Amino acid sequence: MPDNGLLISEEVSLIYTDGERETFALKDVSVSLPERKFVGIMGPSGSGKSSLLYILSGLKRPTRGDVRIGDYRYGSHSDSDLIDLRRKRFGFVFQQPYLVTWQTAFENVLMGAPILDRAAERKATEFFEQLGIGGLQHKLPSQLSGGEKQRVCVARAMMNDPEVIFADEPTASLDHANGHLVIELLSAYRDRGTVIVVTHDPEMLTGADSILMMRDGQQAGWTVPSEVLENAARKTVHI
Amino acid sequence: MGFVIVLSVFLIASVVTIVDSIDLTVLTIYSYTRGFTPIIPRAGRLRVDRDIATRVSKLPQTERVVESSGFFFNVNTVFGRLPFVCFGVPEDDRDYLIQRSGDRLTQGRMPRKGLPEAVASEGIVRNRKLKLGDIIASPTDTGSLVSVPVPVKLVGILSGPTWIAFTSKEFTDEALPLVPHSILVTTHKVSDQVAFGDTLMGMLDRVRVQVFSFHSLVKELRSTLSSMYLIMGLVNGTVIFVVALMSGMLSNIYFTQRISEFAVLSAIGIRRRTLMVHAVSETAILTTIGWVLGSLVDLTFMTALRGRLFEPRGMLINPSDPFAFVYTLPIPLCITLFAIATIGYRLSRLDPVTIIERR
Repeated sequence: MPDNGLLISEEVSLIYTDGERETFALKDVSVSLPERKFVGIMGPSGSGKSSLLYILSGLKRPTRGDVRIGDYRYGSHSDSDLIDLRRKRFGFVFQQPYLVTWQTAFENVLMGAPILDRAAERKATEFFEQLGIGGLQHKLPSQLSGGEKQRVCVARAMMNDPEVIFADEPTASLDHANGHLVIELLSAYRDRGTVIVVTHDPEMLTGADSILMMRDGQQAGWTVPSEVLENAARKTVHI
Repeated sequence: MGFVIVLSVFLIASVVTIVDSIDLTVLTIYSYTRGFTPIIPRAGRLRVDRDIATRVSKLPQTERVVESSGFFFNVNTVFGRLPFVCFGVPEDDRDYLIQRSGDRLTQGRMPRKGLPEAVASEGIVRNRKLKLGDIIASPTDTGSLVSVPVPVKLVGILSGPTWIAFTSKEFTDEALPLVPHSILVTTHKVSDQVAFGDTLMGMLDRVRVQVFSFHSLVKELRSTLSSMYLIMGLVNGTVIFVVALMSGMLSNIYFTQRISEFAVLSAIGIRRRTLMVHAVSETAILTTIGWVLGSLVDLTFMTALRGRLFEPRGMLINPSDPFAFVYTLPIPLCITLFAIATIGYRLSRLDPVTIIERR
């Protein structure tokens, strides 16, 4: 297992107990995710891909094992510290484009900023232009389409210049065109940080640098987009 | 939820204002005791004993002692008709007492010596729906303490804060020779009158005279109404509790509807304390706006109904009664506290992942 990545999980397991019965959502997953790459996580439903994303992002704590980003070990920190970690070093895009309903698109994007100042406002304005939603700053979420909302979420995720953006099925609620657009926007972020995208749809990962395959809560190896698309035999790629 | 708060504040403020009108009505009716203190003889005496009158007149606080007789006419109050005294005093004393009471003649003229005429404050005139020339007291009046033998005509109207009525001393002496004569005692400074009334209450023989001091009247009234105030407190307490509970539940439902919003904010790194402050601030702002609007609705409603509904029925209303608004303050406070408790509990158990996965 390479241990020189940015974000590393060390024999992570997530176990749900029901009486005496134990169910492994994740079992001894050890992955190392590199800096400034676009990484996909794929697998069938129940394979543990979203659970892995939540554990890598500090949203969930593993039952066993640990996760670290650089020297920062999640297991040595409190829930409150992990909230700070998420705010300062991570960005998130979820399947549903959750926005604060009574705030404008612009105010929603500013929520991702570590400090609210003029520079943050300028940055948010630039994001609106870059993401093709210029002119929608003052609209409320209810006045935006699903694709526009998700782009606002992408902008919010980028506001703190995160080291890692976690995207959990970011295209699942969008049409094909909007889905591709959102993936392109996320993919472009690899120049500045790591992007981890969980999806069912192999087409959305055509631009990924590598793809982690999950099966039954365990890592089934690394692959590349072309192989996934061609449905070729699995090939493990160590990065 | 805001609408519930507006209605609750309006309900409680209006109930308190209406209940307070009883207090206000009686205090207004007896407001003349702020300008002078009547002392009336007791135990079948027709006049205040000379030694008492002399003792009072020699007190350093005393400016003037006015001998008076009088008759009563009825005024309308929330608890039916109450007798109101019309003092018969000499002309110069009458003018002096009117001036002390802060009133002045604005319509008609003063009563002529020996004639069945009276001058009364505009509050009384409105209460009785009288106009100049109308009969203010009649031999057929029922419920009056001392009826007049002939009809007494209203010839003048006084404007000012005090309810007061006068006729000529010559008329009462001639028409009501067997009516007890009281003395009206004044102080050098009007502002000392209320305290002086208390002093007189404490120093004079209560078997021989009765002193009408402002404080004794207020005390007697509040003692009489204490049970009603208790009932009002219980009713208001119940309403406040129910409204707070209901609004708290609505706030909880509102929070539940937005739980995904809070979950995502928590997921992206917004601290729970910040979320808590955010949610509670929203509730506090909403309840404050609701309270202000409810108070404004009450103020508008009471002002509109004061002249049309309440005053003709003898209920004096103060639409901006501060006590009424203070009574409604527990509504926004209870709702905010309830919201803090429920939202705090929900946020402490908030698991963003569970909610995001629910999608």
